[in-house]
This record gives sequence, structure tokens and C-alpha cells, in this order.
Amino acid sequence: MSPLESRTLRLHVARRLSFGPTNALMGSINKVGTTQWIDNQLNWSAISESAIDPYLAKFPRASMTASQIANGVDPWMVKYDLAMATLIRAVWGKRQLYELLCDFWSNHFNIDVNHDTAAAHKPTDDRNVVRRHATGRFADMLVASAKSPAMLVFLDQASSRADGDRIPNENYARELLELHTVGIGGGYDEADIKEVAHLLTGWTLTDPWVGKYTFNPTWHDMGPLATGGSVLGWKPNGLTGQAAGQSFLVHLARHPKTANRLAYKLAVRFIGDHVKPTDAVVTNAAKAYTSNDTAIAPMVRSLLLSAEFTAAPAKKARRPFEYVAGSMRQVGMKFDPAKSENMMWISIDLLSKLGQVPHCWPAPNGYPDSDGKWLSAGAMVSRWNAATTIGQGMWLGMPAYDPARLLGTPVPTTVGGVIDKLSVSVLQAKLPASLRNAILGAVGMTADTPWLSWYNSRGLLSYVLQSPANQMR
Amino acid sequence: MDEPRESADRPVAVPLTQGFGRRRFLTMAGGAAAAVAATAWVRPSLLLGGSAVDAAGVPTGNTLVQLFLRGGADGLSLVAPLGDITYQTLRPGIAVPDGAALALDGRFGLHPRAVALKALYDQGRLAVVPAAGSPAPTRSHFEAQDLMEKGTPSTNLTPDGWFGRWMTRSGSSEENALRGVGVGNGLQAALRGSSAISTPDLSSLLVNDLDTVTWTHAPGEMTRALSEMYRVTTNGALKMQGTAALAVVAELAPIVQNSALPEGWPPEFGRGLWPIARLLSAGIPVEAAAVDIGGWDFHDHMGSATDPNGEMGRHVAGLDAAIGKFFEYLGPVGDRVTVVVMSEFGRRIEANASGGTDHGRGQAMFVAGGGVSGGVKGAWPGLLDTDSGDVRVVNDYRAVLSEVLAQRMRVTDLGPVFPGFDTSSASWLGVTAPA
Repeated sequence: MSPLESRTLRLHVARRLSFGPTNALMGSINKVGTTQWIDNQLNWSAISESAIDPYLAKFPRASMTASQIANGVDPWMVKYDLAMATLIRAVWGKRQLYELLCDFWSNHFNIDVNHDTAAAHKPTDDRNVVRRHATGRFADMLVASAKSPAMLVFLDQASSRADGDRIPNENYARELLELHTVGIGGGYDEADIKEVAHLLTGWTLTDPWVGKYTFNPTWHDMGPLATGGSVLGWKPNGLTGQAAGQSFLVHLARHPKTANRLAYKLAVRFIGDHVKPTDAVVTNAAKAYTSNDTAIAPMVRSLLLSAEFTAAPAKKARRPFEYVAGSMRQVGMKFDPAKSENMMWISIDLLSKLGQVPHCWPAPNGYPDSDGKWLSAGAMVSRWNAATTIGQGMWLGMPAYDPARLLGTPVPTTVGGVIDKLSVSVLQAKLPASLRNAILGAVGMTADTPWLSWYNSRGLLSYVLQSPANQMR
Repeated sequence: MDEPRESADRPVAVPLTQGFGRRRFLTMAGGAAAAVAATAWVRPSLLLGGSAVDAAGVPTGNTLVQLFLRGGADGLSLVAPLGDITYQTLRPGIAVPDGAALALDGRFGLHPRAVALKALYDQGRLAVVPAAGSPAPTRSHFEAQDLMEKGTPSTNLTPDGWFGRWMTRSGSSEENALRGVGVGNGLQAALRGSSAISTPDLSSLLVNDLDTVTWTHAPGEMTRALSEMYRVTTNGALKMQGTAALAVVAELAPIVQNSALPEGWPPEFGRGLWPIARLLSAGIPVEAAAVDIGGWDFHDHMGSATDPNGEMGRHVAGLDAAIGKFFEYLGPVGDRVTVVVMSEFGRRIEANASGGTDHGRGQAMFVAGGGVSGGVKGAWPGLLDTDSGDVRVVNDYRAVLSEVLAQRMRVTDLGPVFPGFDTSSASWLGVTAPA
């Protein structure tokens, strides 16, 4: 660890690059320093995650194939199991940065699990598109996404055809350009969208429930691109059919506008809403992406080791999922396999009230990532209620976490000492004096009021979790 | 049913929740703390055009609800052109058949499942504007919604929304904390820049107290802790939202505890309108409300208009029931409430290979409720003179909103609300009754 590296930076890395800071996480950052810790996290396959396998095993539908799901599984249960698998990895997993990146890409290539037959294919998409490529080459992820049954269903590509006098379905073509790659202002127009829709006709599914990707040449017609013209600098150059579409996708992945847009979106995610697409931190990350042939890890590394990242502690609000998963992590919530179903219903209920059940955003743009979209009056109340649920351990009687562990040994002798100890345990830092005094005033005590052995710390812990200090990343 | 302008200062009988109507609460101005249950009510300046709440705290103002159909609702299914061979030919299987449409004026018919809208129309309480929309040519959901709600179609750099600019300009320094309400998890872009609050439902405005395990047993302990923590925080956004939340929570408790969806209320499509109906019927002077109904992006399988299981029909029926129930529940209060139904764009005239329609331009807008001049309004370009195969936008959505703001909300200076647009009566389409 660099001796110059401040505790502020280490805490910032812990808060921003995980779902929530814990003693164990701080320990691993302190051991190797922030740069090495980031590199270790980017090399996630070397981090053993077998400890959570028994937890994930309680939610088996999250890893089923479409055929298994079609064989009598309720699609609603797929949705719940997927949400729980995502929550388990966030709360108890060690590959924290990887899980944040999976969340990012899952929203970038958003597919609402509630749409049509998407539930049957969503676990496959999660596994083979998002989780497989989250730190790999974007070009590979883009092609995998284009052939992903869940995406083919969600954006209607599966039913797009140009045989006879049929008119191709533009849905996927539009979002491919607008959301997945170059973005608005990327240099395409409505005519280009129609041409891309034509180009991709024939990319379909063998069956809406259990099918796999297939290219159906009889549905395919190159359309206007067959007779000259180009889209975003790409020309067929004699290619047709599936090969033409594939070539175009790779072209899109390598397009400078795509590089800039992905770097900007990641910067907003990991640095803050104040970043502008033209900032050097964005253009540098885009360069790292381009010079490594669309590799994601070097782009992320460039952002996370930047001065702009270092300068942005607590600049970004936690979104509801991060708030719930993070608070569960921070109090040391235990996973009780015998009560996993209770935990599922309570977790889904909390996340529903807060409006962020994973994989359930209905539009193709993914859950919003600006603070203004998440901080509203109603949302604050729901956050406070979630904190009370977690802090009081109201998990239908299960031993949710160990309050004594958070108080440590010896137990502080004053109420002020208890508040300090609780906040260090769950926030990895004392609350600012103004917030500590706010809590003391509300309970009608002073910092020096003796802490008596029969006092219960769960109420105070709820206040710490509700506090403004636990709302930011 | 439009009440004369002169009555603005006169109290009007509005049903009030017991013991609530006389208590009003103030929000902070410029970050100052909320003063709850203030005894003196300061009336917003009428010169600024905001509707009034009189000194006794009885609301005399009107309410404008933006009901946004997210996803690009198909105007040609909501309001079908009758006897139009182009329409029937280009939309095999999904065009509303002439015989099934609920005929309005001989030229247009509502979707067969829009029975409540038809009833409102027959009562003269529904204006229908076909070929409506924004001059911005974009067919992107996200860009189109953003530009439309900002009210500045030629630039997306505007930080606030049209509704928010109106609220800010017509507001007073001490205003009702529920003057603007967005139903949802985040504030709608239209309301940004104002002090409007956002909540997904009313029950989300109930703070659960410490329950199974108590600390000091002191009543109100958690509320005190939250109030003080969010008063002293140096984070501006948390301070603003947290303080607004607590002010609203304190005052709404009696309403919130009794806010379950009533029997027969459409559970899916009507969910967003329910909090507004409940607040208004309880006498809360909500002036600006934004509600969303999603799921209109029908790129495939719209279904036949006469098939009871058709997806488009199911959505129309849901929207129709939501609006119908809303006004039924409000009763006479509904005469003070105007709902403007809009979407980011309409859809392509010609169906695609999936039995759906792709993103288009002109949409159908509805103006329903209080002060409306019923009928089909605005121009209609037909389906032959198109915008690249889409219905041309010939009726600017800002003309509709300008007219409603001026006539119903008594806004006198609309220029800053829709910069660069002629907001004068010259642009209006006659969707409101003469004041």
C-alpha cells in the first residue's frame, strides 16, 4: 500500500466499488492498497465464490435453461429466483466490482423479465451475455446479445422478416443504435434505422419458449443496403445474410461514438452525475477501450484509477438496490437456508416498494442512473422504512444479524460511544457530530448518558442506517 | 361546467377530510426548514397566475393532471379515422373496423373499448385532438419524452420541465407542500425545477415506527431523529427530499392510513391516478399532477380491436376505466380537474411484419374533465400526406397545454413556460370552454 494513500481514498473505493463497505472489505483493501485491490477485483475469476453456492442453490430457477423452465416452471418464480441470485451475490459475494459491472451491463442490455416469453430465456441471457462478457470484449457481448433469445423476444427481432411484402420490425435496430452502441447523436437517421432493420431480418428464434437463435435466410432481405449506401460508415462489401449483420455489429462495437458513450455511461456510474461526455476522464477511458479492441476491463481500470474518481467521494446517491443490498451487507445479515423463502418475500417486497427489483425495468434503457431519478420524497420514506426493517431484524423471526457483534467487545459505556461504535461497524466511519447529535436529541440523551446492559441497540442502528451518511456511495 | 374567473377568490364547497381542511402546511423556501401546521396562510399572488387558496384554507383552485402514456401510444387505435381505405388497407387485422368504432363526429371513432371516454365525450367533457405532438422529429422514446416534458423541442439542455416552470413562476414563497405531485419513483421530467414531490403511492408516505424492539418508547422518536438528521445534513438533495417527505408525512397520516384502492378501481392502469383522486377528494389542493401509464410500445401483436384478448384493446380498456373511475370517484370535484392525456409520439400508419406498428409521429391527445369544450379539435392531415409514412403532426401539444394553463390554471404569462412558442389564444385549438 502506498503510504500516501489516504483512508479517505480507501473508504471511497470501498463504498463506490462494492455494494457496501464492511470490516472484511476494508481489511482486504488495506492489505494490498486500492490499485492492487481494483486489479484483483477485475481479475474476478481468481476470487473464490464457492461460499455462496449453497445460498444460490436455494434459488435454482435463476440458472435454468429455457427447456428446463418450459418443463413446468412458473415464469414468476424465475423472476424471483433471478432477483434473489442477484441479491445474494451483491450481499455475500466477494466479486463486488464484477457484480457491479454485471448490474451495469444487465441494464445496458436491459431485458424486462416480465415481457412475453422473456422469463424463459432471461437466466440464459444473464449467464451467457452479461456475466460471461462483463469484463471481456464488448464486441463479443454485443454479438452474444444480438443472438440472445431473451433479447430477440424483448425487442421483437425474432418476428422481424422481409420476405414477400412484409415490413421489418424496427424495434431492435433502433435500440441497437440508440441504446446499445453509438447513441442519440451518433450519426444515424430514421432511414438508417430502417436499413439496419432490413439488414438483420432473419435473425430469429426456433421457438418463442424453448428455442435457440437461428438465422432464417428465407426471412432475410438486405433491403436498400444491397444496392449501395452505408450506415455509420459500414458497407456490406459483398457480404449478405448473417455474415453481413455480424460484420455490422462488430463495426458498431468499434465505432468511436460507441467507445465514448460506453466510457461516459461507466463514468456516470462510477464517478458521478457531474461528469460530461467530453471530459478527459471519459476520452481517456474510450481510448483504452479502442486501443484494446473493445476490451471492457482496461476502460474500467482507466476510469477507476483516474484523479476524477479519487476526487468524487460520496458524490453519488445509492440507488435502492444498492441501499438495500448494502445495508444488509453492512449489518452482517446472515443467510439462513431454512428460511430462504421468507428472506425472498421480504427482500422482494422492500425492493418493489423502492422501485428496483433487478431485471424488472420495463423499458429497454435499463434502470435510471441519475440521482434525481431516485431521490424523491416518497422514495426517502421507503428507504427509511427499509432501514427499519433491516435494522430491527424484522425478518419473520429469523436471527438476521448479531447486534452484539456490531457493538464489539468491550461494549461502549455511553450512548454516544454506542452510536460511534455502531456507525464505525456499519459505515466504516463515525457519523458526523451533527448527525450523532441529531440522534441523541431525538432519544433525549447526551453522549455521556451511561449505556445500560439491558438497552437494545437495534433502534439506534436503524437511525444510523436511515441517516444521510448511509444514502451516498 | 367551467366556473367563471371571478369566482377565484370565493370559497367553493369541496369535500374535506374531517379535521384536515383547515390545516395547511408549508414547505421550506430556499432550504429553510419546514414549518408544519402554520397558523397563517399566505395566499399566492393572483397576479402571477397561480390558482388561489383563500385565507381560510379552502381550495378554490383547479387541478391539471398530465397523464403520460409511456412507450408511444398508437393514436390511430385510440381515435380511428372512419371510412378511411388507407387505414384499413395498411393495417390488416389491427385497424379498428368502422362498424366497431364508437363514432364521434362522423370523421373519427374511439376504440370500441373506450366506453367511458365515449360517455365523457357525449357529456361534452372530452376534447379529442388527432395528429397531435411535438415539432421535434425524433422517434426515440427517451429523446421524445425528454424534449416533450421539457417543453423545449429544439433543445434538450433545458434543466427544468414545462410543469415545473409554471409552478415556479406561479408559486409563493410559502406554498402547499402538495401543490405538485408526481406519481412514480422519481419526479417526472415535466415537473422538474419545482418543489413538487414524487411518490409511487400514498402508503409509501407512511413512516413505520420502531416496532418489534423499542428503544426509549418515546412517541415520535424516529420522526424527531429523521427531521433533525435531514435538517442538518450538508447534502442539498437529501435535505430537500427528506425534509419535504417529513412535512408531507406529518400532514397526510390520516389520509394515508385510509388509502387502499377502492372496490372496482382498475388495479393496474388506474393505480397511478388513485393517489391524486384520494388527495383531491380529501380537499388537498393539488394543482399540478403527473401520472404515467406504461406499456404502449406495441411493436408486435397489437391484436384485433374486436378481440377481447387483444393487447392493444386491453390497454385501451385499462386507460378508459382508469379515467372513467377517476371522474366518477371525484364527482363534483372533477369539475375542477382537467386531465390531459398525451404520449411521446404516435405510431407508423402501416403495420410491420410482427402485427405491430413501429415508432411514428402524430398521436391522439385527450383533454378530459373540468372546463373542457367537448368535440374533435384541431386539424387533420389525413393518412396520404404523411411524414415518412407517419401521421403528420399538425396540432402542437404546446397549444393544447397553453390553452389549458391559461384557461384553467389562469396563467397570464406563458412565454417562459414554452419558450419560443406562440402561446397566445391564436394558437389554441378550442379544447376549453370560454372562461
